Amino acid sequence: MAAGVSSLHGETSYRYRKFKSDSMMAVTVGATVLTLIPLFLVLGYLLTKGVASLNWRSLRPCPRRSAKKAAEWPTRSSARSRWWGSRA
Amino acid sequence: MAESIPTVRRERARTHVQVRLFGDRIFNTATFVLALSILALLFGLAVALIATSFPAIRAFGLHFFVTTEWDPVNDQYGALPFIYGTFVSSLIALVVAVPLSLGVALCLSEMAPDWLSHRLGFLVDLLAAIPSVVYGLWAIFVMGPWIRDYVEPPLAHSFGWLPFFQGPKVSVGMLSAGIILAIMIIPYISSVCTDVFRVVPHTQREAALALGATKWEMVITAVIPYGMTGVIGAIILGLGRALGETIAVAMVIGNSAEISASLFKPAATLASVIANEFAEATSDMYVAALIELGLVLLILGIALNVVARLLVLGVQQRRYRETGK
Repeated sequence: MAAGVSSLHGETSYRYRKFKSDSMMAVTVGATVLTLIPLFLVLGYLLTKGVASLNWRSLRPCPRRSAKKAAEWPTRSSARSRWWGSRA
Repeated sequence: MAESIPTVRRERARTHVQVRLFGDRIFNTATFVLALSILALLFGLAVALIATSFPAIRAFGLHFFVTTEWDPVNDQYGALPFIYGTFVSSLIALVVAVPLSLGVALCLSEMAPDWLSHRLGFLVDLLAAIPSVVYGLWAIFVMGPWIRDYVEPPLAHSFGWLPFFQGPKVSVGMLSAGIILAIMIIPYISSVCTDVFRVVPHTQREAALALGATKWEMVITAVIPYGMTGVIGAIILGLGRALGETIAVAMVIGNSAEISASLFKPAATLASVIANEFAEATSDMYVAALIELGLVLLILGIALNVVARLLVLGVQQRRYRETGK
């Protein structure tokens, strides 16, 4: 009887220890997943926002004129002629 | 009369040895000079910082470290809010990052199979490759609002009786800065800890398992104690990075020269205030005060390294007393 109780206690203790071990190992896996989430969030944010605003004009070299003049300079040729016309 | 052949050989051998010794001497001298140059660089940096911050040191003395007033208009400067902000943000970062980093390190070294461990390790290391300004941008636009909406309200609701979780909920503040710092230092701590755990001898693990230990008990009794020195070193490395981190923190901490117990409120760190205000520092005293903040940061970094050395030495000595090796 005593041996049976002892065995029962040993089995319970082992189960508890095994459960604790498995739980802690699962916690380490959870920590890894939690750590990697910001990586994917940052990369995802950069990709979604960056790719959406990527265009050919942003890759072309900047014009030589100053920033102020470039801001005033109309981009379309018709608008440019109107601009020169209005100045004239 | 010609010398005998053994004598000639002996002379040649002696010349050869002398040439080799001369080469060794040059190599030793060169490496010694290079090692000294690091110290000279550090010394020069400290001297330059002291010299350029001398007007502030002379004007404020030790009051600089205990006063909270930072008033460039009236040329009154006190560093206490920034020292406090640096310590608290780094502490939050460590509280968040250390358990996660240890979990990652144990998962990579003890749980994951080799093929997965290396791939996951690469991804975790990739966190360190993201520039801090990108972290700052992401923290401003994504993480800060998320913390304001989903983290701060439950914290205030559950622990609002504590002064740390009182006050208005805003997206920039000490908590946001601490969490972004934690994300930034995790790869450093976890990478070093993973390497430390991987070099623990297999005999240690096998001995623990043979005595009936479960995997977790093996980790607790054999792996972590063996690598404790390295773990402490990794934590100190992360803390050093957190103390000196500038741009990401400057973007999310709110930059307010006030001391508040609330983690939700804006604050400032030594590095963030230097980055934010150096360009607009007009008076000589203002520049000197900012450089003195840099000097404080340098002293903190050096002190941290000394403490780390002492801690590691203490752990090594305790292990030597316990195990004899």
